[in-house]
Amino acid sequence: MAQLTYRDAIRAGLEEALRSNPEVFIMGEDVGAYGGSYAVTKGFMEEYGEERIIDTPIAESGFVGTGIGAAIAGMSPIVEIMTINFSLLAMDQIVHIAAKARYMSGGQISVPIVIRTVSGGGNMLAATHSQSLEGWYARVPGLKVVTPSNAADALGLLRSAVADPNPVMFVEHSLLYGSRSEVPDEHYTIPFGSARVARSGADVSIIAYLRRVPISLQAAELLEDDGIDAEVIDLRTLLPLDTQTFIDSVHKTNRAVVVEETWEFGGFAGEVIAQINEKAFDSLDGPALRVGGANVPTPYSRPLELLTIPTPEMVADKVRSLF
Amino acid sequence: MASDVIMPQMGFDMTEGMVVRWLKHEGDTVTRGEMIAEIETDKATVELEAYESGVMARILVPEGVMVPVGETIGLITAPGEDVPDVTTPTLSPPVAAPPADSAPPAPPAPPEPVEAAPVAEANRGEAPSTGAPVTPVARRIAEQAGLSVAEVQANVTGTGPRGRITRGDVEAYLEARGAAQPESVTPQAPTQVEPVAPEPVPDGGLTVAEPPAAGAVGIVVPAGLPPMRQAIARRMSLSKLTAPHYYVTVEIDMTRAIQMRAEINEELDAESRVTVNDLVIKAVAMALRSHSHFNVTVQAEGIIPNPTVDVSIAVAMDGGGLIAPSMPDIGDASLVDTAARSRDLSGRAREGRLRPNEVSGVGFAVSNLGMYNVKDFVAIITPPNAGAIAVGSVQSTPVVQDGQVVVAEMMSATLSADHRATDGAEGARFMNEVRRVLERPSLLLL
Repeated sequence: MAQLTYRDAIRAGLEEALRSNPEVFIMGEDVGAYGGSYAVTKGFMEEYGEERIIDTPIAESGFVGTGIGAAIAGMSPIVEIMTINFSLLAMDQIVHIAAKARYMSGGQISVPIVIRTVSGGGNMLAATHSQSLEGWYARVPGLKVVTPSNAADALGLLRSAVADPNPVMFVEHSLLYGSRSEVPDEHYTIPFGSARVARSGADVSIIAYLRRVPISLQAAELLEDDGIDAEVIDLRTLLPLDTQTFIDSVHKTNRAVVVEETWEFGGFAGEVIAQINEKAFDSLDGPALRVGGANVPTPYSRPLELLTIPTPEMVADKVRSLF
Repeated sequence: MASDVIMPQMGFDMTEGMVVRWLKHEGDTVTRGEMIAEIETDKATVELEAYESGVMARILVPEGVMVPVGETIGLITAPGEDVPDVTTPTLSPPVAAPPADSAPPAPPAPPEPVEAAPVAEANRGEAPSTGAPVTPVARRIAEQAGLSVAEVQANVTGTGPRGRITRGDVEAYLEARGAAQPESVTPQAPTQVEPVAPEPVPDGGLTVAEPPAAGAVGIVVPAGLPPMRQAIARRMSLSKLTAPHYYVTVEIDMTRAIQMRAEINEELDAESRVTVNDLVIKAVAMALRSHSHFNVTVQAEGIIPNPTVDVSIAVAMDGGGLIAPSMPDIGDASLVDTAARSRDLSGRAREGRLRPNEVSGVGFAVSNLGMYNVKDFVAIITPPNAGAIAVGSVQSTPVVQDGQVVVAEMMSATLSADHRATDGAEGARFMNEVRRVLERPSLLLL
């Protein structure tokens, strides 16, 4: 077992794909000469050449569409969109072409593209650069939306993403790149649609993804002082969604709090709560609650920004309200 | 007429049971009183008898499956009778979850136009309700115990946010209610309890408390205990927390009783002999007959007289733990019959082969540690009974009789009685009656 950062785990997955499959190439803004905005592809251009590590113009619709075309033509592109905020410019390509080509061609066309992108706020990047939009894509049939919370999951899920014959949105979090965790030495993959019990507990199920998983684990530690034994479920992929793991958990704990970074109103947490209502209603000992971001454009001001993103204290407070 | 075979409640705190073995199979003829199944509870394996004669038409619950008390597990019909449509009861435990639903959904239907509502609209108050809100899981648990939501709202104080009645509240209530409720000896669905309104006591200005309030009883059952220890832990803690005990000890001169026992046993086979404990059981049964206010159960509904004199005996199990099986209707049994029944009962208790009406727990208890050479000890009452007697060893003791020191065979007996049903002076009179018949042992033969 090696201690790897989230960044290095993703690097390792990308290099593995580049080395093992000549059809794999990486394309995006600043992925080559600059080494990636979050330094994930640093040195790749020197190592794998300009043919396989391609810097693009600032034209998301164009280079994502190019990647989709290459995938349809038989390549295995890994396209990086610098942040998920910029993916809106490519949304038509993603939602209308990538997600639907297989369906509308009667299965004749495959789109084996991996779209890597970065979500989340907390960096003082203001309203247009701090959003968490992965839940939007998780509503689109035909896409897969992957949201790793740690290095080991990032590598295992990236391997599955590269191997998948369908379009995958691989969503990373800007504040997780430096986080470290144990990564097994032997080769492993993590299938989509398999949530993980990040911490086992008896009294409440805290369900989260991406950076809200470590935040929820910190909340669980705070709750120990209240005598509340929290279970933390990491969804790992939003689409497909593993409902079984969190439903089982709610049957056990009788309480649920769903945590995400995006605006609380209309968020993905609402979907998780709907599933709980439908499948575990008779196990609930109180309403299934959610903790999301404030329903405002993210402020640039550091003190204000901190108030808009769920913290361990906010999660713990919400859990306490159930007891 | 078809009759249901129901998972009986054997012991007041039994909520579910398992058929370990069906002794009858579908199509077999059954006679009323015949054993049809072996049922395992947390305390023992007991035999379930048929309450009707006929044909074992249906077995609805396979062996090895836990089902709630009151669940229909089989059906007995008259020979030739059509088998009514019956559905298999819920077999899966409540934690069984629906199958995984992780595949991407089909393309969505076009959205229906809806009127936009302001955000604040979405946050409007709670659903209208006439009583305290009861959470879904609390409702489910109440329902399984045969309680309606209205009964829960009338009897249970919610400790959850905004007075919400939670799972823990209902469980605490059921636990406390179990202590104050009779065990249904005959298998039937749990009885519904009417809410009991507090009644003022005329003089003292006190009010009679409701049945032990939910949430007030903080019973701790240590984790990881085997089922019997859990049952003991739960039951004894509950007794000590809900039944106010008082104690009365008497010293009984057993010299003549021992002498009489020796004479009787000379005439009996080895396996029919009478023990000192049998003498005590017989004396207690006689005292219960004449002091009927001890032959009661203490329940939320009131102090209920027992229809028969039932005595239970504490039996230590070989592998640890204990069980107090009951000898129903022992009031008129002769001393020799009493001895035969107690020997049979303790033997079958150790083998785990008790019958439902024997593990009911109803019956004034006799607990005897005489074989361990103890002078005296006190017993904990098993709810809902009104009392228990703890008997020490018979010991040769110098006593003063008519101004002379003589040696007598003395035995100490201590009554533990529930103060809600009787008072100390009554306890003293009851114990004096036990002493009187033991010291004039020919009365035991009446």
